[in-house]
Amino acid sequence: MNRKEQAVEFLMRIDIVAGILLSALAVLIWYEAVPLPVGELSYFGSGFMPRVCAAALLIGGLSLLFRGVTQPSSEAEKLVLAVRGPFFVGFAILIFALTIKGYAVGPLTIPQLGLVVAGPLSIFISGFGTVEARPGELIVLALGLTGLGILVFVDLLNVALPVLPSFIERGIPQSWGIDWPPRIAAIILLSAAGGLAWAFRAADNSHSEDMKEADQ
Amino acid sequence: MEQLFDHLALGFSISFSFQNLLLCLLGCLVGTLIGVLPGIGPLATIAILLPLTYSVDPVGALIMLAGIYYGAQYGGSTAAILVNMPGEASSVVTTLDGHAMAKDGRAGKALGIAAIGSFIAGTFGVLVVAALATPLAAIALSFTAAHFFALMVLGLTLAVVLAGGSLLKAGCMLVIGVTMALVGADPLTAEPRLTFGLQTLYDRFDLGIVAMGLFGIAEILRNLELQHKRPAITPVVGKLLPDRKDFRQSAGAIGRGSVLGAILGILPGNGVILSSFASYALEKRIAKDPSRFGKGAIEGVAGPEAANNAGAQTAFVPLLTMGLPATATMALMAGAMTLHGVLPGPQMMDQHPDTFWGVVTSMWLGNAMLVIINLPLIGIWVRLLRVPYRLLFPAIVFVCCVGIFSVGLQPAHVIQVAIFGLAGYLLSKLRLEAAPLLLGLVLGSLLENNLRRGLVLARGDVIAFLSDPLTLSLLALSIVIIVTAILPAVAQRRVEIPAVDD
Repeated sequence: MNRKEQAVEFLMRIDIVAGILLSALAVLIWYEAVPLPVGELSYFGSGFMPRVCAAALLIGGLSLLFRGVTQPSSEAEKLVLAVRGPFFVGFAILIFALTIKGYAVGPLTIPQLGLVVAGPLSIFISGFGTVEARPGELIVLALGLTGLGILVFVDLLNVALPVLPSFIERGIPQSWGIDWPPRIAAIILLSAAGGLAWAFRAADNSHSEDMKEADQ
Repeated sequence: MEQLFDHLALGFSISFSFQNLLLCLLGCLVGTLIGVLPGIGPLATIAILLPLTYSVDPVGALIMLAGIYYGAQYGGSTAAILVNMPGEASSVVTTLDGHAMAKDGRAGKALGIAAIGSFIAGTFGVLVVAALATPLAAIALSFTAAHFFALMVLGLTLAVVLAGGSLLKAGCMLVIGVTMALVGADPLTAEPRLTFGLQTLYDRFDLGIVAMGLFGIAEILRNLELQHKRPAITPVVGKLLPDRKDFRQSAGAIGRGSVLGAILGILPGNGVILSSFASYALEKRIAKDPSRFGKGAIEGVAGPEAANNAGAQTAFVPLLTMGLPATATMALMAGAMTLHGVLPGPQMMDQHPDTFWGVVTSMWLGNAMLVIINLPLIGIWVRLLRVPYRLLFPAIVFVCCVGIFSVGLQPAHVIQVAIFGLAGYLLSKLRLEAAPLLLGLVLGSLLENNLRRGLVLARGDVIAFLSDPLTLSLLALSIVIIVTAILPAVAQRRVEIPAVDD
């Protein structure tokens, strides 16, 4: 697709980038394999295979690099990476990981916020991975899907996922049992999603033009 | 022969239990649900849904997994016929005549013949698997470590050569996979190996996490770059059941497709995809009027669909009889089996006959269920195809997060999924196919162990190691294959096979 463009910059050619990355990886593997014993062929040690692999990878990486450098510019393909999608999706998954059960990152400690927070956040954030994202729609999806997820995974499949934030969990009286708090949370989420969907639709009908602008 | 039927009877007694029927149904449903989404093939589907099976007992889990596999295969065909968007590489050919039929007002018949052809071919494929299993496993049991090593080398060579795309790049990815398999506690001394001092690496790479990242998340990131117009969905009109004339026209195609698919499916690499292309080419060549092809010839749907389904069954043969997965999808299946404490391989039939035959028969059951559930439910799948991608992908991300977290309740696992997702995206942008990596990851330890054992038995003498005729011929064959693949004429032709995810 870049055939018509002028010469593809050397450092953006996919074969060159791939070659450099693979060679670097090979060096890294070799470096880490150095302290491991090679042993003898009659009984090779734990360092034998890593060295063989690192050497093979280095040969492969350098060949790719060579191919990238020597290929005519017309055959070179340019590396084009999107930023938006990978950023939001990666960030969304990270947020899920940090909030679901709590996590200590350096001096910062995030308390357990449970699926009721981690779910909607991850859905909402990842939704912005496309330029077509519409915030209103995403809020409804985030709440509704999380509610559904709690019912399916926790209630139906009995997966021991933390559903509620720890500070709420502690305040719940024992007599409520373990089944009902997640169930109630799911019902609240689903009704919130339903209510919002209805409200958005009503607003959309009355002044659809305004909504479109607000969405964008 | 009688023994074969005894085995099948044992299998059906397992797979026909209420719980297993239900799991098979559930697997088929969710498999179709994800598989029908454009751009998400069987491999990504299995990677995303794998955690769902963790809480079930081994037999049930494998049956459910098999259901997911077929569901994903079949969902791809539906998307191919109705939206002209193949959900997976093996249904690329189906778009040619399948979509032409749909535009012609014969969508129902196209879907119907695809389902029926797949079912017939699937039945044939299961019989082939059942018939080959016992003799092949017996051969495999007599293999020495050196034989296994050579066989793995041959299988991996074929997988890399048949994978399409750059041979050099596929080879590099394979080596990375093998190296990843070596990371972690050393099998002999339990000392850390290649861990860079990280506890996470000491615990080894988890196949489920790597696959979900490299295939599930990376697939989403790739799809996000495409322009998402609302896909034009051809309405399903006309009867779902093909009439007598359609059957007469496609019977031969289904038969030939089944045989072709069953043979090619056993090959490592992308035999399944190859078989659908081969079947299409064959049907076009022997047709009385080849010009009908591409304009809605029913044989052009029936043949390839039958072939890819027969291939999807027989792809299990190397895994179930030798313990050697030949495609990335099978590598994932192997990982799932090991996780449930069932080691795929020649011993499986002796040690877990109920599991083995239960799974084999459930393959057939899964195929039957697909015909029964998919034709009436076609309306639901069509509606699913209408859901815009901007809403689908956050949902898939959510399912991935919850799925992988529910397995070990470890936030670190979720972070690893994100890392492998981003890495997978970068790899695909560099045209580095991730499928060989997964094969290497699954086979790496076996490769090392068998090479070590083989060399121990040969007392470290390479000549003695190679003096065994079978070892030597398998390794020599691998070299011949590589050399032929590197020759320019062949290399040119390889480009025509599209790079695929399975």
